[in-house]
Amino acid sequence: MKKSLIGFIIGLVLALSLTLFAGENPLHIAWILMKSAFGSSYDLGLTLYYTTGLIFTGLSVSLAFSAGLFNIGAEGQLLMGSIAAALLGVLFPHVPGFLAPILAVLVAGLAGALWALIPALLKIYRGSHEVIVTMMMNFIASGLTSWAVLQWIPNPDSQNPESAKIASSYMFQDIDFVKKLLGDSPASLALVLALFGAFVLWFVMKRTRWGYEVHISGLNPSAAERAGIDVAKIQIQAFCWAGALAAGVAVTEVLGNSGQFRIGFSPEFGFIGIAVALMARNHPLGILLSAFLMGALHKGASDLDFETTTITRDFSKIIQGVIILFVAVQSYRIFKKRGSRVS
Amino acid sequence: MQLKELRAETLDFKLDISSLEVHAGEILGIAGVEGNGQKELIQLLMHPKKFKKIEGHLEILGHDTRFYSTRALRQLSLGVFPEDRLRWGSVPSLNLLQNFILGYQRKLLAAKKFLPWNELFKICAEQIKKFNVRPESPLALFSSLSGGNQQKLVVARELYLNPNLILASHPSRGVDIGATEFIHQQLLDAKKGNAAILLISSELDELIKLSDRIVVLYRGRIQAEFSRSHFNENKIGAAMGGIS
Repeated sequence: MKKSLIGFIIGLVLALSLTLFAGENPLHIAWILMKSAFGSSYDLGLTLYYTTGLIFTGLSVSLAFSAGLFNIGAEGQLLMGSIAAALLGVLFPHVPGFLAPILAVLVAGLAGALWALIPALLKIYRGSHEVIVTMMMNFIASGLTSWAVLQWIPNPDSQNPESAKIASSYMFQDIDFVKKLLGDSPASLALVLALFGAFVLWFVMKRTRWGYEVHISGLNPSAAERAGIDVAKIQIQAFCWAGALAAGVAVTEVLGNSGQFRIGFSPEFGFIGIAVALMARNHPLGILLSAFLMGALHKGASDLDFETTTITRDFSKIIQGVIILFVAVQSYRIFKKRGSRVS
Repeated sequence: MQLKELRAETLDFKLDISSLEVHAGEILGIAGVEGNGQKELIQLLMHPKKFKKIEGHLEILGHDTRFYSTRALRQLSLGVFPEDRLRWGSVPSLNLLQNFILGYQRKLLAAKKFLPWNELFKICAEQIKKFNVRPESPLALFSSLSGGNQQKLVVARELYLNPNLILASHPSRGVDIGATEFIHQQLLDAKKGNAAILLISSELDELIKLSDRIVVLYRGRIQAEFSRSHFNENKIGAAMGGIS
């Protein structure tokens, strides 16, 4: 984690100095990023909203990665989870209040898991590579959810491409102390759920027999098989749980923030989640920190459009790219050192 | 362990074994040039589900294991020295403790709900000491050990519960002389403890030193069998080449 942080800082500094080429002062850009990410309680709330989503997708990618699978499909899984929650909330408004959010979380998770089950089965039984399949299924999920929203539950009061509002009993309402604390910002109780999820995953991977088997299956499938681990089964299970975790974004957005499915709501949570997991080297607790950093970066960059004339919010992508590069370099260095000690 | 009139097929190999039996308190050596079915024999015993077809009699410790999963096989009193410890027997990037419970992850202290690392650490440390693995710390990385010490850890693990059947394939491959001697002694001790031992090796010296009987595998069939009083390097060597 320390090495990742060093990589993060080097990457950030270098990326910022790129702004020199556009005639900007890197320190000024850094200041804008900071101010925009943490300047007011609303800004902080939005940063935490991104953080929440990124924790979920980061955990998703990391769990799949522990099992030796690359989950590029978190984006599709979170869309399916969100549409499931939205459909439930709009079409069944009379579920009693205390039950509704729980039910919605479960349904969203189930939808994400089922969407992940398809590539997992294709991978295990047909040998189709999960990277290709999940990537393609992201497009299918995107099209399918858009169609479902406009076909079944369009918002009658708006021309925007979005669903009708879910019944208010599904929202967290009074128990949502995070929202109260940050004054009506997009952050919500989902943050607490995400933190809880990270701790649970950490515990599962470290202390349970299942977590151990996932770990071994990912690192050395042959040895895992010889040890009596059903690698295929473990990988399918892990991938489904990864899908369920990605669907946690549905809680962040649909139940915690907007109360509806807005087409294109996700700022590519699924893809930034890969960066988050990489930066934390798949450690569930490290993901909390790296998701926060990436969330702050994403929110911070959104003000670049207004505050400067030459740099747009897309700059955050460049920063992300450079940071990931340097985090990767850092871990490669550790690897090399270890290797040379052996020989 | 008993195999009789056994025909087993994978996609690219056929095993056809008329009769192969290991008794308790005996070491049966399997000789043969590599690629004549040794690998498949271990696969057949440990991963019968990977085979397209298995016909005949396959019995391990009193169980008909033709349709057993590896997990079910692991529940039997069975120890396996893998043919390639880095591929089949360990996860090099993890530490000794994590490698030590490989195969026991649902067996050791299974009554506990969660993996009791503290207690497992103690067991592992004891076993490391008993088998003289260096370094002695269960938290050392497996990949940082020498080949001999890696193999000793694998042996320490597989013999931990005093198995009734030991499948030892290439126990001294890539292992220094001291560790080889040590591992041979462990096998002989296990034999004294009435374990049945199947020893697969490409080293004739090793086979002749340890085995009570030697069977020669050639192209997936049993080419010849020698009892201890008839061990003869030339004859065994000829059989390995397909001449009987």
